[in-house]
Amino acid sequence: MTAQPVVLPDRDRRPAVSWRLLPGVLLSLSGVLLYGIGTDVGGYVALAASLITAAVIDRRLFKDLVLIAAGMIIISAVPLDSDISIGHMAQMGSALALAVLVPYAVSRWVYRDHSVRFPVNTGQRWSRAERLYLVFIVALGYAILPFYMISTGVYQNWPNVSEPDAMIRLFIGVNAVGIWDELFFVCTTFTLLRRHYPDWLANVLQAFVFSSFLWELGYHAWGPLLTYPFALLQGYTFKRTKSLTYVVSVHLLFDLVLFLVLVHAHNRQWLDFFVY
Amino acid sequence: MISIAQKLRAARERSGLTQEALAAAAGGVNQAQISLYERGIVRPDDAVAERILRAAKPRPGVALRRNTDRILAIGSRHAVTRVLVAEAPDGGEPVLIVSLAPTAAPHDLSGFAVEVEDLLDVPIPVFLDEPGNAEVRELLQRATPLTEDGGDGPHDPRAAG
Repeated sequence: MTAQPVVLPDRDRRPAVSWRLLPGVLLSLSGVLLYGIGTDVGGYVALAASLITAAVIDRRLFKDLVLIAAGMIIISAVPLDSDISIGHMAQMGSALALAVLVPYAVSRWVYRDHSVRFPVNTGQRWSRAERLYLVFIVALGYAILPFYMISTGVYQNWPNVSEPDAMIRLFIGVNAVGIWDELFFVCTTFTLLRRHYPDWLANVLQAFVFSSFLWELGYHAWGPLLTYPFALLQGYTFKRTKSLTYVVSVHLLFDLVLFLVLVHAHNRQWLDFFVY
Repeated sequence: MISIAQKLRAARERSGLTQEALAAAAGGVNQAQISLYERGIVRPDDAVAERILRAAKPRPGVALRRNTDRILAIGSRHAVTRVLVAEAPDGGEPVLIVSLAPTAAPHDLSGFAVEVEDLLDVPIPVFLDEPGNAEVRELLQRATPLTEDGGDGPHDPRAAG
């Protein structure tokens, strides 16, 4: 008797349009309402509707959406902005940490499926294309961020940093949020959605929540035209590389340019090498 | 939920100030920043937003002129037969002097005052037109009727009693 090959389901061949889509769309909508539009009541109603419909349609989908919803509710409990006072950084940092730890802990020790993982050491060397992409990201940030930040005036949503102490706190804040974005939106939200939807659809859905969060953080005006594709790219990059380290590297390089642009925007005579 | 951007724009429009005038009144901000705040592109911090909202609060005189018809409508609900406007004795913000119909209930005067204050969002003293009250008599000397056409017509002392 010969062994039969195991055929794994192809995620991207799952039907995208079915009733199962409804809870995912409602979850994304709740992200837009909670962080993008800032209507807490509407956001919680959409989130509740997402969980209720998931519970009716598919118990496993419900369990995974509960993890994402828990993180989203925790985040929504604190004001999200770029205030770099110690008190606010501690408050927001605690909420962001909990928003990642709760889904991780429940997935690992309650559900015991360990579906949320943070693959830091993949054992894979970065390919030449991946290393080139890092250079490309810096160039992209240099080309877009000064124009976006300064021409719209949104840089004023970040504090005016001209003292070393404030600069260090802004640098830490920008990088910490950058790392957290990948932990929550990519390693948690995208990963959990991928268990139930085709990869492209899971990416589209997580990108709505991701870019809405960035909107609340200060990426106003035409910011979503920048942050939504960025969120999609990060999801896609994670799917390709399966490496948290790599997507964090991409994000932090982009954030490094962001930090330099912010310093320049508030102090125009400094770092005067941007074009906008 | 009303965003801070909507709140700032509404407050400025109520005040009748331009963005430039409001920036000057608030201090520490310029017209471009007011524009960014109102369009929701930049989020002002709480202290700045509060300063702008305070500066956008209309002066009682301006608020009165803008809401004449509504004040008269409130008056008609509270048996007010006539509303006069006079400058306060210290030459400051205006006060209202109202006459009540004989059928007025005891709470009509306070009801009128509360509703007017709620409408204008600024405190405006309301006096009852009592011939025996010396302060009112003094105010009546420079009072003018509040009329729907903006009413700064001369006060008829005979009508005031």
